[in-house]
Amino acid sequence: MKKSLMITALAMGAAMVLSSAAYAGETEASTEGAASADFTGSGKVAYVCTGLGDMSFNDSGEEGMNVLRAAGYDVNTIETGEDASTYDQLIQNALEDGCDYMVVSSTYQDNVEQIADQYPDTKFILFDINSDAEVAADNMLYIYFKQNESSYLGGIVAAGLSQSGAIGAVGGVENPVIKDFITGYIDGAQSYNADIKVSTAWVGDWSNSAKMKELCETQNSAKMVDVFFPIAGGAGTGAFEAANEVGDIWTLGVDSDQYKAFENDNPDYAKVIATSVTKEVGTMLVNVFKDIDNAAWGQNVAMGVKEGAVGIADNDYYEEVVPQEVKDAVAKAEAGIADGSITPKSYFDFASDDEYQALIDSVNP
Amino acid sequence: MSLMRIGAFLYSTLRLSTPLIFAALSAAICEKAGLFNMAAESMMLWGALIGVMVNGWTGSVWVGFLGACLAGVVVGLLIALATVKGKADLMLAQIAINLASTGGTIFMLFVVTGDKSTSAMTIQSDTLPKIFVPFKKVPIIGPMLNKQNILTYGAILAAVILYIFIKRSKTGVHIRAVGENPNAAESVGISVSKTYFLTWAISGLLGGIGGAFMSMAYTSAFTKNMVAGRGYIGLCASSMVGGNPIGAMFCAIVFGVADAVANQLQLTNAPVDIVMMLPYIVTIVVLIIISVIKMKAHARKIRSKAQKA
Repeated sequence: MKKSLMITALAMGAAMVLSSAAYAGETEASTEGAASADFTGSGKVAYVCTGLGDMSFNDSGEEGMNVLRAAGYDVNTIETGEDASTYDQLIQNALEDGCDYMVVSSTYQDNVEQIADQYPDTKFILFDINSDAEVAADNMLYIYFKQNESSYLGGIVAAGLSQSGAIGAVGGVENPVIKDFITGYIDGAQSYNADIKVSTAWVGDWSNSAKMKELCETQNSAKMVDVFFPIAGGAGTGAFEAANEVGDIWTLGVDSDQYKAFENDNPDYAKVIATSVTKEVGTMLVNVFKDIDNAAWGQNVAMGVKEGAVGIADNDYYEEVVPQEVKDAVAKAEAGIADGSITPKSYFDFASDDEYQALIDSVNP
Repeated sequence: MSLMRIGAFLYSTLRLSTPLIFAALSAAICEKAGLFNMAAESMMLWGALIGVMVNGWTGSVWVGFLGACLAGVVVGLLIALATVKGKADLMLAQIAINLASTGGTIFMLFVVTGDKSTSAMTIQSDTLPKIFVPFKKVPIIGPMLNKQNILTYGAILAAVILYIFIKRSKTGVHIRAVGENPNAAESVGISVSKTYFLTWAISGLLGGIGGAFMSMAYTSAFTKNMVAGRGYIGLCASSMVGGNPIGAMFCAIVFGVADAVANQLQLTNAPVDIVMMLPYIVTIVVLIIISVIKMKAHARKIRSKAQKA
């Protein structure tokens, strides 16, 4: 009996070590790129994310961190994994360790809001926050990305590429930010083609790429959808797989320029990605740090197309495969959004979720 | 619904069912040996990862497939080693393996490729061949079977083979004997520990193939956590029918149908949260129905015994 207990304990221990090694580890500049910076600064920065290697959101933030490292900041990237019960502890540890700035995404909003006022010497930067979030303490800066503006542009591209008049969007987990993406996407698509149909679905997590593939193919077979738009982090590759399997399908990447990401190493994926709806997390964080002393502490700052925080990836492939009239429409809309003459619909402007549902229902093929 | 759409729906159902069938068979053989297999999830996860990696190294998708099989077997044997030789608690050992595998697969992917979420960019891997049927024009059946992956046929074949193996072969009889009563089996000269090792090896093999389907057929790359609970659904499918491989296969297909229906419902205006629960609701409902039927049968048996007495 004793032996069995010991072995079990050993096995459990090994499990914990292994899983924590891959998950909740602290990596010192694991993706130390050839980043350079045109400014200097100093101080300890803790960047907290769920995990690097997502080819989009977290990695984009890490690129910004690499610039900060080059600028002289002592940046520690903390990967928490997706077990929310460990977040508090990992954040506390980083704070107890002493850090001047803590950079986190909305995933950790609750955890950080609870303790921010206990650490007045630390400045907190929260990004990808809802537009209506109220800042909890004076040592916090919230950044709200107007993803509805970039996905408005994405909607125009999707509507312009669609032969069937039906386009799709598949989200990861239902949350206001993703719904904001979809709202802008529908609005943009309608601005290009008033009769466009938009089919939406949800994976339920951020990693089930097989389910993403299945959903996209179902959208295609049942609703004639011929442009896929995955907004689901790591699960997004399933949409590229589906596009290859079905054939004659375009997709839009999300968060980072996914065509560039896959161009050399997985041309099959790259060749179906007409453009990407980007969110320049890293660039925006760097901009904040460039003028850190005058940052808008205690405020929720909105950043959109005008600030260059969001947009669509204008790469060679986009230039090549997207028809000129669509590109013209995109350029026009981009200018209109920047000068304020076009205001894409936003989920955050809706009075209630019902209004969003009504929009979804009205375009459902 | 047009015939075309029914065909597409059934195609998707079969494809969704394939990994569930392998998971169910992996659990079924364990159940026959009186073991409870919670680790199909791990076997599949490792199968999915190792398959892609070996495929990438050797350039051969079939060698990769063998690697996936082997990975599953190793996981199975590891459980056998811990529980049979090490006398560790079966449940705890499997929980440990599952926890270790979730992180362990990501860790290994990171060590090998420097990437933590997908192998799509770093490992060149292929997919196993698809079968093109000559009767693809036949309504419903044509589109249902055409272009299915070879492993989908493999799943059905595996269920039949496993059924015959358990029912007819000498080893199958041994496995069942150990499952019914290990002490009695031991007393007639069957080595219980050998049987357990063999059972876990076969179970791991089936789980590994299920994993290969995920990363080398369903999609063409390994993504972290890509098995996403399919191992547990398979376990459930097997429990419902007491480990009968053919029954387990059909139960797995029922879950596949629930999955496919949920995907179709997503395209309607039905509330997403409820739609996403559908496969799990079906699981619970079917479990309840089966347990009610079993209880009634049991009560009837007792009654008839009482009447005889």
